[in-house]
Amino acid sequence: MKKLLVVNLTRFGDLLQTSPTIAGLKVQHPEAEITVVVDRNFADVARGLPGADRVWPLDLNELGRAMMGGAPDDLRRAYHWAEAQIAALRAEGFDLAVNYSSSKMSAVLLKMIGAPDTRGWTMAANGYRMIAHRWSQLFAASALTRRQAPFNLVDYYKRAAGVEGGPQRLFYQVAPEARASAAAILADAGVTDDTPVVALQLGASRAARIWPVESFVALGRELHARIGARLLLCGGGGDRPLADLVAPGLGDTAIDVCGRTSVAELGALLERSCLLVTSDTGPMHMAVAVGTPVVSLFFGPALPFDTGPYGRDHLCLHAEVPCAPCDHHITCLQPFCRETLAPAAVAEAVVARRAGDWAALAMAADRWPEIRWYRTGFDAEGLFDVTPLGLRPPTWRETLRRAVRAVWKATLDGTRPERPRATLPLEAAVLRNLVPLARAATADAAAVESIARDGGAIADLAAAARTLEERCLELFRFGAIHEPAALVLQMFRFEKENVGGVDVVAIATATRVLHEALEVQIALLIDLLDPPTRPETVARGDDDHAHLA
Amino acid sequence: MWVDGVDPRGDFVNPRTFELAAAGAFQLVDRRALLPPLFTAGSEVVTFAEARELPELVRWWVAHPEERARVAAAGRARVLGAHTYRHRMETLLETVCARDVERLQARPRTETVADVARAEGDTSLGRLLAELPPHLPFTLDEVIGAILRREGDLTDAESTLLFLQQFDDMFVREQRERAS
Repeated sequence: MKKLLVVNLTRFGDLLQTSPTIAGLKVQHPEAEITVVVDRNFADVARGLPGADRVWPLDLNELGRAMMGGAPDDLRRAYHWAEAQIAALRAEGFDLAVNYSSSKMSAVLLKMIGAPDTRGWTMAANGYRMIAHRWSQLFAASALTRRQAPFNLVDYYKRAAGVEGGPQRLFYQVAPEARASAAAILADAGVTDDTPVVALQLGASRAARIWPVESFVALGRELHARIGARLLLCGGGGDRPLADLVAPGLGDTAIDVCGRTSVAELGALLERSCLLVTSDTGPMHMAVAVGTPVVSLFFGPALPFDTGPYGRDHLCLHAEVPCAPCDHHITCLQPFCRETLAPAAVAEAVVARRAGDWAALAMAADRWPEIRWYRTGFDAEGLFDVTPLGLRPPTWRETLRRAVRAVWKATLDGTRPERPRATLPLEAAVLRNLVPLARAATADAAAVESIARDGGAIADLAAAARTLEERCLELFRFGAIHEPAALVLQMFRFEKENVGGVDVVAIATATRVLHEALEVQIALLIDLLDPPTRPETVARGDDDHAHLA
Repeated sequence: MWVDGVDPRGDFVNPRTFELAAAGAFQLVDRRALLPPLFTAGSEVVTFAEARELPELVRWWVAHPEERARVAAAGRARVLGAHTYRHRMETLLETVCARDVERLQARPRTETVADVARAEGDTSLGRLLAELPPHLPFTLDEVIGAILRREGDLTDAESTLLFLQQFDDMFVREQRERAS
């Protein structure tokens, strides 16, 4: 492979989450030239990423301005701009193109760039959306069934690009002048080398992701009282109203740079901080990239499993409320989850994490039963993982997530499935109802295949295909109703949608193979949730009781 | 108040009266105040004032198929000559135009697909537009609508417009609508 293309037209944080993939691709293909297509706003960030040989900025702001008027001449100009950009990208003759934007716009773009090996969202010749590569399909499926969230976004990215292992961190290059400017800002504020600076990222992309200002104030006061911390108030221009509420509450202990720094200076300031407290935001990923530990607060729609800080030994505090995570499309009238994350708990996390005291963190984790504390890290296969702190047994959701993760590691990577610590016999019983349905569907798919192979009458083929289609609807309905089956069936749906081509026999065979694989996945999931012979753990206590009786 | 099955104050003529006539049917119609300007009673349709007139009328017209056919044909000719949707739409537009003529004249004329195809000439956009319905207004939504009605694989020009439409959907449309 000579020329590789990575497209990421999403936000700042997502671009940083693409960085390990770009670096990993470079390690695996040192001879190849890697081009990264980004929104022009992030071109400088992209230029600092290791492995990015060329940055191809798309000026989407300019295009937006051109189209704002909506007049015929605007549209004509926009057309010729897009035509020229796309033609130039196509002329590069990329061997591999990976798309990390899940938008129809990017799908059209990737189709037109026309790399022989295209992964992620793209478009079929007739205009239908396609998701190429099974890891990209699993990512799309898990976005629709988020409660299970088996993998981190970065790992989907890596695997879709074929990166094996790859760096277990994010990258961001702090510019020397930004470093100097950050030092000046801190010196002006009277910060010395031994002053602990704790950065607080106040805002987030949506209101549902913002921790209350009163909580930030309470946290800041406690951190100042306990460790003499100075609080660096971070955020973009849009977060200014939050800073105006938090800063007076913290008085002289605050260093308010919210909305007053460039992206580069923010990176340098985070690098200089001993720790960042943030919800699930772009600056969270930036802190990870510059090597600053993060205490990240997960509530509302955010989950530590899929978008958590991609590195070792960060802390994620997750508000473990029954409705979490909320669907992206809802507006919550009673967002109690953010109050669940008590400032005292967060302060405890910051103090103990700063001291590197994991025993204290484990004990603290058990003192707040509504909060789940996680330490970030990587599993034996190098995939991002979070480990719950404390002694509480795993929740059923945690056990289900473990099992689902094992199923997909086995299916996509051939990893020997690891059993969850607990069992879920009830969920397994639900899944057993799916077994005959999946088996019947495989038989239907085999019938279609045999008619296609024997060159049977079109009418017979159509009738058999209709039977199969109706059976599949039953399967999908099962997935929509029963959570343990949700991801497996959503993924199955995407895999089926993406069986392409014009050769009827090949399509029928590929479909039948997918049905057989589905049966295996369901059987494995049942086995992991409810092993035929129960492992002899956790039974000790009960044995003792039996002896006493 | 109905008298013997007929509304003596009935004025409005139902669409079915026109539709039946247009289909070449012979009709016995109850007498309506607004019928005379639309149809000539006796030669294009036949009317009655009370239901008790009907048995005699029906017997006579059934017994006279040639006269019946003459009335039906005259009724049909009247509808096609004066009462189609096209006629009504013309009246409607004349009314609107007569009232709003200044405002309509002041409004900038939207360029059509044909206009832009001419201006573009031999570009990929020009060539695509030359294949689309010429009278369509040249807006993203109209052009995309026309593209989606076509069959087969998407060409590059079609895909480029699809790209712009998706971009517009994601980043521009909402702002533009807020601005106007």
